[in-house]
Amino acid sequence: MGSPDPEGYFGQFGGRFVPETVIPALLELEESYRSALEDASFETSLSDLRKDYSGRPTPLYRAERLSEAWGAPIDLKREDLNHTGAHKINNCLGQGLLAVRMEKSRIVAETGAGQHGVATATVSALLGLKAVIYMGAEDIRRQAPNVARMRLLGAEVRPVTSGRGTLKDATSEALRDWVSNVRDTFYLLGSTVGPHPYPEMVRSFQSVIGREAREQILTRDGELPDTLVACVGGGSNAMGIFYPFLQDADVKMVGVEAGGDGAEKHAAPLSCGRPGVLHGAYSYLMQDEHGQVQETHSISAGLDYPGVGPEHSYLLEQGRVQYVRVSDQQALEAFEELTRREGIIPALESAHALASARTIAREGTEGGKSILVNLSGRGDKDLNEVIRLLEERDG
Amino acid sequence: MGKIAERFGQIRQAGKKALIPYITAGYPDLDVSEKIARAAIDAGADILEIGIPFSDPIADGPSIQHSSQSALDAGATPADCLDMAARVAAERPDVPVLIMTYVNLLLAVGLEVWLDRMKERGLAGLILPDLSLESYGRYASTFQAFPEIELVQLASVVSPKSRLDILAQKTRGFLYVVSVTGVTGAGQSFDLRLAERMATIRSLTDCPLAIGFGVDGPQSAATLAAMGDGVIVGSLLVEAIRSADAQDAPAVVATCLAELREGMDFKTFRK
Repeated sequence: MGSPDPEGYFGQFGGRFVPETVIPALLELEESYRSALEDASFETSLSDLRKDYSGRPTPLYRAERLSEAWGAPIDLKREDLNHTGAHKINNCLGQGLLAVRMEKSRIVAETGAGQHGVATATVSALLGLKAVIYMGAEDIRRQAPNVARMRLLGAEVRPVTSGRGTLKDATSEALRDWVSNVRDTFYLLGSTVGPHPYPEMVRSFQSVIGREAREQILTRDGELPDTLVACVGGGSNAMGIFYPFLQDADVKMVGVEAGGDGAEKHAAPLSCGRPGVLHGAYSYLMQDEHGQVQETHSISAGLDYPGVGPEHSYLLEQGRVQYVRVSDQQALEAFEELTRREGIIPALESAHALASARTIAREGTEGGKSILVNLSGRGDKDLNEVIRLLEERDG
Repeated sequence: MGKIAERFGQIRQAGKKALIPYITAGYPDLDVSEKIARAAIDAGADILEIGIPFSDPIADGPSIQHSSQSALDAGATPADCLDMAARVAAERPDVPVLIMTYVNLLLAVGLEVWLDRMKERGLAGLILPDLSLESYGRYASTFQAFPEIELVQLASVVSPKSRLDILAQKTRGFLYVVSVTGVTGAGQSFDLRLAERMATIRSLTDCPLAIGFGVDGPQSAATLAAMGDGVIVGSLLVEAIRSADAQDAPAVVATCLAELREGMDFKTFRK
């Protein structure tokens, strides 16, 4: 289990479904990535930046008041305490160093919630690269603080109005930009999606989350957690925490998709879709009977995506990870609960994982072992949206 | 030999270059797009490329994104589009009809079912810009079970010689050379290396070479025609349709193609 095959397939999922124009660039990227992994100086630069710039290792925090309320021990992997406020920086530091190594002067990226955009703009400022960030017009509205941040950091934010103006459309536009500027441009893809080698590479840069968490919990408790819980949009924070635990057969894993309104409108391809090709990979996809990609809905811009990383599709079919859905309302409740009981304001994305952890906690864990939630990001970016939603709900 | 390859043979023999228009099925609606397809053939198309709209066309620029989305909004389904293409193909058997779309539409109904539908409908070939050489491998045996349907490979100006060689061997009908590093759209400047790449490709293969992406009028069509065996023009026509009233669209497309035809033939003649 684990690594994709040389063509980038996890079982039947993955591959390179992109125009010929970017295939040579993908081959070059893969070669540079593999040579970087074998270069001790690359690893040193990356781990120095993780430690001194981003603030790693992030803490593993036992949320006592939440544990008491929910009936089982809850641990939080505090990715929200990273520089820029989310796990996205882990991947951006890795890919940013790779872009420099490949002598690319221009970065393009897509962003949904704006967390990946902010992390990309930050790393581009740090490394002296020009960044162009594609963001859906609807997301620009609901994630305004992050748009301001990106612009302050010197990035150009290009609004995308095609489609519904969310993450899917921003990703298509970033891909088109890359096709058009492939010689000098590095596509800094933000999740474990897209053509090979992105799903593998992003997982590799994010798996620092799981490696740290595994060591931290073994040091503290002398045993592994009962269950890992992470939200899944494209799936990078989930792959990051799951991957180093995949061989630990006793550790259960739950990936949480955006259940939207709890009925028809959602963003849950693993729970409700079927396999197809979007943005370069064969994976579970929300599509209609004809193969047209469907519109999605989630309270959380970062989860509002009709596709999912191919390795998640593989882990679903292998039965290794259980994928569940959490509705907008459940996520909002979990958001309030963490804020009030622990003084931590989570990102709406991470609130989906918390809501699922609450359900698991109420069913109880084996031998009182803990539920480890990847708190992938902080909620500052969501304040306006949450205040609006709470007013709507509470009148 | 397939219908497309055969057609190129005839065109070469006549000392001419192939004009290959692209239109989006269902744009502005299915009925008008069928009339446009007929008008395109009457105006001198040697081969016709009919695009079946997909929700996320990553190889297409704003013009074809817009035509695809409009067609989907107007309710175009892949099955209706294939039927439309089949009616056009049946009326004019001397002009092979190619289908251009994205691989997910084929996988959604099943690749074999899709290819069988094309075969039944007498459709000659298929262009799938997101089915790279790398991803083709898993489906090769299914494509090979339908030798009537010619799968056209796309080559890029950034493809190294080793890949051009494989693409030229694998392609059927012709090799589609993308003239720009970019997505479809009229008026982009052609890659500076295009002429040099065309010479490289020509040294590797005898198969017909058609150049597409970026054609914006008779002059650029003539320039590209001089470098290869045919020219593909899409966004220019889609934009002409967009700015015309629906009832005038077939005539507008015919005029546009007649100008391109004249430009290409004049240049060929002079050469």
